[in-house]
Amino acid sequence: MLSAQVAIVRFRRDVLISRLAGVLLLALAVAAIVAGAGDEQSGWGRSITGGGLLAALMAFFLYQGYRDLQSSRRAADWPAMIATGRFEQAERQIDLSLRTFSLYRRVKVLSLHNLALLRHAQQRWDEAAILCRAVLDQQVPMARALAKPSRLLLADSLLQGGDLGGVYDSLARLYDQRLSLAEAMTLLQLQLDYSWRVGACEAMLAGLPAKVQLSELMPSASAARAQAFLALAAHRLGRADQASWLGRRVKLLVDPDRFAGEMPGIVEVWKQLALDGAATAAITGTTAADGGAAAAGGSSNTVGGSPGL
Amino acid sequence: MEPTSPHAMALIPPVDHLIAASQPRQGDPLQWLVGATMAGMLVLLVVSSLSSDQSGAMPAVLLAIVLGLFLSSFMMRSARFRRIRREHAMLEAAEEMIQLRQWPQGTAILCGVLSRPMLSQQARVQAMMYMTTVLARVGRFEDVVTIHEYLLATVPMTEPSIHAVRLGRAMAMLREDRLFDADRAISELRRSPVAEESSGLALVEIYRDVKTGHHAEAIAEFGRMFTRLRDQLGHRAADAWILVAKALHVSGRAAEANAAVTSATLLSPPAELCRRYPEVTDLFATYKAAAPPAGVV
Repeated sequence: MLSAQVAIVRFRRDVLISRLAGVLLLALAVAAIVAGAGDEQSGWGRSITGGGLLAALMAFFLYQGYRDLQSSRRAADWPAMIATGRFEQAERQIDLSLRTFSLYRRVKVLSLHNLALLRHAQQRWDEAAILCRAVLDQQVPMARALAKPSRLLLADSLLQGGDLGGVYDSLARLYDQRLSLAEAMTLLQLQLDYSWRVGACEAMLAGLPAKVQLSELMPSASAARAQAFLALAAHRLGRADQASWLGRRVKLLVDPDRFAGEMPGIVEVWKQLALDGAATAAITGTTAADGGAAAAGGSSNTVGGSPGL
Repeated sequence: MEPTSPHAMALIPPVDHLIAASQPRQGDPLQWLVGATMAGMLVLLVVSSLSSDQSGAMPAVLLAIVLGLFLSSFMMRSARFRRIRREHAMLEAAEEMIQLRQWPQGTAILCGVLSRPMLSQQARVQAMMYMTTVLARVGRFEDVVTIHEYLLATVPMTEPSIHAVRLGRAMAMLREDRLFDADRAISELRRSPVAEESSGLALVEIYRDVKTGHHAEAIAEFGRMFTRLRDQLGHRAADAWILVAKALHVSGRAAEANAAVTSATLLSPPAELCRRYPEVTDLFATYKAAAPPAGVV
């Protein structure tokens, strides 16, 4: 397994080499042009060096551009690989990409970001955080494009690793940026998790309608988690009606028994607000009996997407 | 329910026009340019090689032409990437607008994108799928079916995408009361390799059963697929809850219907459910919806 430190050292070395190679190739190109367009009587002008070298350089640039495109296409598959748990395959391809010479830094930065994504999925929080910081340190356009996802990934890695100060720093840098809807949803989850850990219940419930609306757009598990945090905060602040409504929603979105294992605090809310879910159980119980055994779990957004109405 | 602007409906051109106008252009001039650059370089190589035996230097004109071609291809490639990124950003914006139910804005973006040749077929399919959501929202189900059938007939897609398109088509047919066509569409869906795990298909089947009066089958399907409906649909599981509430109500199981209405309205507002499934409107005369507390919505 590629360690974060080794990957970063290799990345920095390759970036340096590609920079030097770029400068060298540019200098050669200029020399070739001067030679090619030079005086007919000079030695340069008669040699094949000028035209041949220039042609070779152009071919090399085109070849590198083509390889860059191919690598970018391959890199586009990595997030899906990681999301579906094909870690070894993703690791192999990222490792290969980091080892391969490229004149352009974009693929290298993309590889490093995906390695961070992989380590995050493998719950290796420290390594994921180190890799995210390395991506954020880069000053190339690709790194700037990845800055927001990298910062969100960094914040989550730090949160899971228990570095709350680091989480605050990461989240604070995201508030003044325009986020996509998906990024805003991720930020909301991180913000709620962080706020709950530091006991900022008032802050959690600030702008509650917008937070509820955003959580309604999330997949079941994330929606349940976000609303469970809101229910916990409402419960702690004595807003029983809000806690009850949110708590009941959570029960409808996930398997309550399994979810209680992930967020033990929510069980207390369910108990104290007497949300026993008997009515729901009655229906699903009887309808399940009508239809035979309930199907086993599993989720796939593509397959399970609601047929838009 | 959020009001849908009447202007949004008036803005949407005929779907035939959108389908024809959004077709990506055939033949990429960039490819020709790259080809010409390559050919120029070959000529350059040959000329340079010959010039070592003769007195002539590499012709400056040829050098300028090849350099010009090379730089042009580079600039065109950059411009194309910029256009692709812009198109992608527009689609992302449209998707966000639709998810946030800002229908007029989403409609305007999609009409703009689909009214001229798009850069990639993949983005076009995506834009058309978003457009079907908008069209369904304004009740143009016939147009929804037209787009879906066009996509299925002409665009190569992966199995999950085909399944998603067929789901949308079946649902639109049900809304149009084309029950025979819908039944055939559902049969096609059943043959899909992902059918067994598809909560979308379960939802379509429940709706079909409710519409055709097969309430026991609807209740059974809900029970069989409950876990998947809950895990895959998120808040849209409210659709399944309200449809099973209708089936339970008609079957005379009032207490369970009441609980199902409560579950449905906890997840989604009644007005939204009535808009999606007009058949359930009468339930709210009998059963009480779960009202959100103050300060939540």
